[in-house]
Amino acid sequence: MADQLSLHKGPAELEFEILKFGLCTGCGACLGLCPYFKVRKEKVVLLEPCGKTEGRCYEICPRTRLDLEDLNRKVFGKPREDFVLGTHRGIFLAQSWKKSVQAKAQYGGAVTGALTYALGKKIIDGAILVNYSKSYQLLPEPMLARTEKEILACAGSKYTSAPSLKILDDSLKQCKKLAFVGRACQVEALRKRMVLEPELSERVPLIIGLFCMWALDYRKLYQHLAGRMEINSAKKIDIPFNRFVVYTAKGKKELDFEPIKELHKATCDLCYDFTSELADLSVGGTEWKDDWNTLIVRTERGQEFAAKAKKDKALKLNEFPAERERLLRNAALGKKKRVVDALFVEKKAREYLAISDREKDWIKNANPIGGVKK
Amino acid sequence: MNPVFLKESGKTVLMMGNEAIARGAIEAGVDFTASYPGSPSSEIQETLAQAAKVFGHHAEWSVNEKVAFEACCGASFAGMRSLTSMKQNGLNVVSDVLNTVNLSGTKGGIVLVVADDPGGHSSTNEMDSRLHAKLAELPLLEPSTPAEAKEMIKYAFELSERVKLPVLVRSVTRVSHARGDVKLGEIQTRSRKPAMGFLDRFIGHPLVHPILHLRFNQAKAEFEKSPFNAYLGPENAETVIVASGPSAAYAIEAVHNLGLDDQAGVLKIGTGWPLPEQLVIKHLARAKQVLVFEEVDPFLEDNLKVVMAGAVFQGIAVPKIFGKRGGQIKGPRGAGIGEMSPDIVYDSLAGILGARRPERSEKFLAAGKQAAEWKLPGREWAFCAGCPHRASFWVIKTALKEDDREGVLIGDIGCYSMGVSKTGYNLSRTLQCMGSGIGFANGLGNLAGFHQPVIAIAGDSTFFHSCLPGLVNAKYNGAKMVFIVLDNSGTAMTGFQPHPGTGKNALGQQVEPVSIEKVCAGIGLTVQAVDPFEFEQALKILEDALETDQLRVLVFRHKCALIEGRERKEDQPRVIIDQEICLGDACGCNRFCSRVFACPALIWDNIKQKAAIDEVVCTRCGVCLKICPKGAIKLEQPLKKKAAKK
Amino acid sequence: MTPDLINLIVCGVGGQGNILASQIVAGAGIKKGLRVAIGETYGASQRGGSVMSHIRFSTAFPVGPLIPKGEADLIVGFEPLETLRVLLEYGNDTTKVVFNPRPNYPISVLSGDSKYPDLELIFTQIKNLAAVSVVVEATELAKQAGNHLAQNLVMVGALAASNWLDFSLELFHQAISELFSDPEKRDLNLRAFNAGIKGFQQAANK
Ligand SMILES: Cc1cc2nc3c(=O)[nH]c(=O)nc-3n(C[C@H](O)[C@H](O)[C@H](O)COP(=O)(O)OP(=O)(O)OC[C@H]3O[C@@H](n4cnc5c(N)ncnc54)[C@H](O)[C@@H]3O)c2cc1C
Repeated sequence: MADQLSLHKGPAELEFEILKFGLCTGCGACLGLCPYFKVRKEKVVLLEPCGKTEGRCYEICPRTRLDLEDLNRKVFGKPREDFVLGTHRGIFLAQSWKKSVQAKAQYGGAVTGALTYALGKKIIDGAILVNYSKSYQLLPEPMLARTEKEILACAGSKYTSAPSLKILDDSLKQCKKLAFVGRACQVEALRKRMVLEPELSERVPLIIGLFCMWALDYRKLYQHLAGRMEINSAKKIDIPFNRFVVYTAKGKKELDFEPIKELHKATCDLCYDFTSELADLSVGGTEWKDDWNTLIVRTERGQEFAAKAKKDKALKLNEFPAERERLLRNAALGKKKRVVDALFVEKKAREYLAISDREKDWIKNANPIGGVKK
Repeated sequence: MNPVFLKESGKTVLMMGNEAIARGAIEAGVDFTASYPGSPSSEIQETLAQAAKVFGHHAEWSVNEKVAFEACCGASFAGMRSLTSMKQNGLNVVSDVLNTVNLSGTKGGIVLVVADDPGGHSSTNEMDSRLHAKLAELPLLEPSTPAEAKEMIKYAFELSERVKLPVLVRSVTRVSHARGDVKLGEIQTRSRKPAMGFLDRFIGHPLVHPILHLRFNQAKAEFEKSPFNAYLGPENAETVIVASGPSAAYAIEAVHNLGLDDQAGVLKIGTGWPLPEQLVIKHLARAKQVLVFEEVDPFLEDNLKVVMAGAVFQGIAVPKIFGKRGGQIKGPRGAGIGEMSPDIVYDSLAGILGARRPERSEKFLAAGKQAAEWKLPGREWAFCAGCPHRASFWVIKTALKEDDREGVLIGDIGCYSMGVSKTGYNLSRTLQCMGSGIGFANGLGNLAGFHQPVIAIAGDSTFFHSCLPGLVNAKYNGAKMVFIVLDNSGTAMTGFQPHPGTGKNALGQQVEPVSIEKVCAGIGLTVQAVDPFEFEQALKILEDALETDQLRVLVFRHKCALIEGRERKEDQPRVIIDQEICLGDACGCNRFCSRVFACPALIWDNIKQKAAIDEVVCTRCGVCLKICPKGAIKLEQPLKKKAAKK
Repeated sequence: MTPDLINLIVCGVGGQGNILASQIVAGAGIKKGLRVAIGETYGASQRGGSVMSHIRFSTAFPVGPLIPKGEADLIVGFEPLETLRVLLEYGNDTTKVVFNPRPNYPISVLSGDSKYPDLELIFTQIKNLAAVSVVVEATELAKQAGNHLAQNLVMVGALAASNWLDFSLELFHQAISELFSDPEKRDLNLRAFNAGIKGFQQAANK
């Protein structure tokens, strides 16, 4: 195993370079692998270094090194071509056929719809999702959903960094085939792990990546809210079109979104991947119709799955309007430009993100109304 | 039957020093005994408690040394004989009342035995208690063997009654925990009747200070003729060795084995304070050089020098006096540091008198070098296999890490003192004296600008000993901390003596337990109790408590593994390791159980390079099942099977 | 061995029952009419530390409870590393040793911070240094006798069988019976003691 590791660093460096610098994305990849990593309320810590000088923890962390060119070849079998939205086979407006799913889902229920379909068709027998914790207000908690009911219970976005990869190894013991839903950093970590363990790819036949600008820091958010509302009755959070709403037992409470935005994790500012470019399917909102999703089909197996789901009337997949795609590209490019700028000044960004000089220059020079690279 | 309890006299039996001290009290017809356990003194009261059933005296484990001594004073005020015993740290707790009751005086014979721990085998200091005798101007005796200890105790009662003062007897580890042949003496029948007459008033006040001096001088006069001081050797020896405690025995043996019998004599001093001045002058005046051997401080040496300085005015020449003060006599770690040993006495004698010790053979010298190359691993103390403290420290370690605010753990005295070392994951930041932990936490928890969370711990016995004032103070002044009582159902460090929380008294009788929870409730604090073996639950409770940033009290309750071991049924399932599943030292584990959790029963199979269980050590507690990342640690059979059958 | 003083060390690890063993051996000596002094290191020794009992039998004058370095006549070791450690410090060219070869690993070894020397090397070194050395599989024999914890009694049996002390078996039997009033415990301990006698004889005949 050790000879597969390419970075030759271990937990001590992971702690020093990532955890202590606030660069941890809270993806949870290290947590499931190793008893030396612990998490509470979304803060990942190292109990103590395990004594090894190199390890999988460092290797698969999405912030130690992200060689998108290399991963692209491994996932898609080809070099990167679309520097803004990543390799893909199609973009759709998507929605679950079921009203009941839509009602529980964040937007159009594309994710939940896809999952219940996959479970019904026995493509998977479990999905790694996120539910709210029973012990702590507004704290997301990873959950292995094995029934339709459980999948539905997990619907809805939790806007902090649930470390759901923590339960990957445990889930693999309980299930044969898994779906994984997560943020870009999580999908990156999972793909990095698949480089070490290629057989894992078959065990996780469906990786759904969520669009993600940033995730909030749970501990900071909690403190912020605790000072401004009766937090003990808080049940869930929603961020509809730049507003911040907390649902409580008594009703809902809206708070000023601007200061809350500032509570996002610092590491998200270094994220280059708004649309989860390494997933099978990527799903986000539309910023337009809030009962629909944007769905990007990326891999071959993603494409097959989407086609079946469409045929079997699980998902509605409509053509994605060109002017909406431009806006989507704008959003993705904006995030990338910020990171590429940072590459020239910030050591940490430079150290982790490996993209080709060509891509770097392209992003740097692209105008806001970016387009597919010709 | 323990020979200590034999009613007949004359027989010679093997006795531990502490048993001999207890026997001495029994032979003196002691009426009342009270103590708080502490190594190396605990067996004194343990023996007296067992003997109480035979001889009818009162025996109790008190909540702390001060209460124990005061209770003994009470008995003395009513004319009864009483004895209290403690370790050196305990005497500090007593010190307050000791320095008034010396003035007021006492009535019935009252003896305070303090067992010092030179070298700190099981203590946080190696304080020399003899200085307390000087401070309080009280007579002090120093036994050198178990047999002598027994005789001294008897004498101490008589002296106490004559001079109307408490008498201190200073034992040390090598007397208290030594064993030797002791001849059983006759037992005085107890016939005293307790009463406080109209004139029995015990008022401490500087006005009565002159009375103390009269009494003190009376003791000094007795000591001039005491049989506990003895000179052994040629009448005109140029070299005189003055020694007290076990050092006297070391010196006699060394003089003999180095062939110095004709040149050197040994003056053994048993009446450590005040010194018998005339006797000292008599033997030292004719000597050219004097060597002083004693445990810990140069107490005897300094006092000898003062006596001899006085002798100068009588026109007596003062010999050279070698001791720890001058640095000629060294302890293992420097003069006045560490425990004396026959080797120190040997080497000092050989060095100063030019005698030679036999050399080690070539073979042994070579083997010694070889061993140095091997670096023979030492044996650090560790929590026993199955110890609930390991689980508690694991929970605390995890909680402080996960909390991620650099929280600190403030330690206290008990088995969990080992929290400062590897077995407690080096978590404890302080190690001082009983009850000090919550005291320190009061400061940290009320310190403006200090944002690190504070956890203070104390054992159940320590809780009652001296944590209550600190806890009340924390509540009153709003100190922020989580105070965890590590309740393992007994005073484990010193051998499971009962305490108010256990529901048993010193005689083993059932009494109504004093509940830690209710005591706290009385202070206005709610308490959450949890079993530390339930890692997840205990962790959550502790982490939640930390996050409140308030004063919170938790009880981590699980019986000591040694008590549990005694109560264990043999049908407990064995803990086994599935070596097929075990990751060994691979990435994702690297011997998490044996190396990090580090229970002594979790060992390493060098051949298979996997974890293994040492069955001889394992207590089958099963707590390690919860830490294996792969679930490779298992119970051999499902737990309940047998119970279900009935 | 000076006839008027015999220095014996019983050594092992906290929890192995050192004190009980030394009490029995000393008890037998007292019955023989010898003066005895024992020095023990414990206190917190239940908790895995090195433990030593110095047992001194004398006919002439009373001695202190500790044996000077290099002056042990006999060593009874409950654990090989401890046996070697004590032999190196207290042994001399005439020292006789009987020991239990089952290792007990210090936590620094379990945690990988230090290394337990190769067992065979320890055995060879003990053999090389001691005038006589006998290995008795005390833990195994104790298990067979009913409880692995009784290895201390097996070792006392081995010492008795060696006759190095010149105490009759009867003296040991008396000392054991006096310590255990509970017949069940007494029998277990006597069984272990007898197993030690056999174990020593077999090992010595090899
Ligand atoms: C932190 C965060 C930030 C996001 N930012 C954007 C954005 O800027 N722009 C945008 O278009 N979309 C964003 N999304 C995605 C969006 O909120 C929806 O999750 C997505 O559009 C899917 O919608 P749906 O109706 O299919 O959801 P659903 O059918 O409700 O399914 C959502 C699924 O995501 C899982 N999930 C929820 N929270 C998390 C989490 N924190 N980590 C991992 N899995 C989770 C749930 O278990 C559920 O299975 C973000 C999502 C998250 C979690």
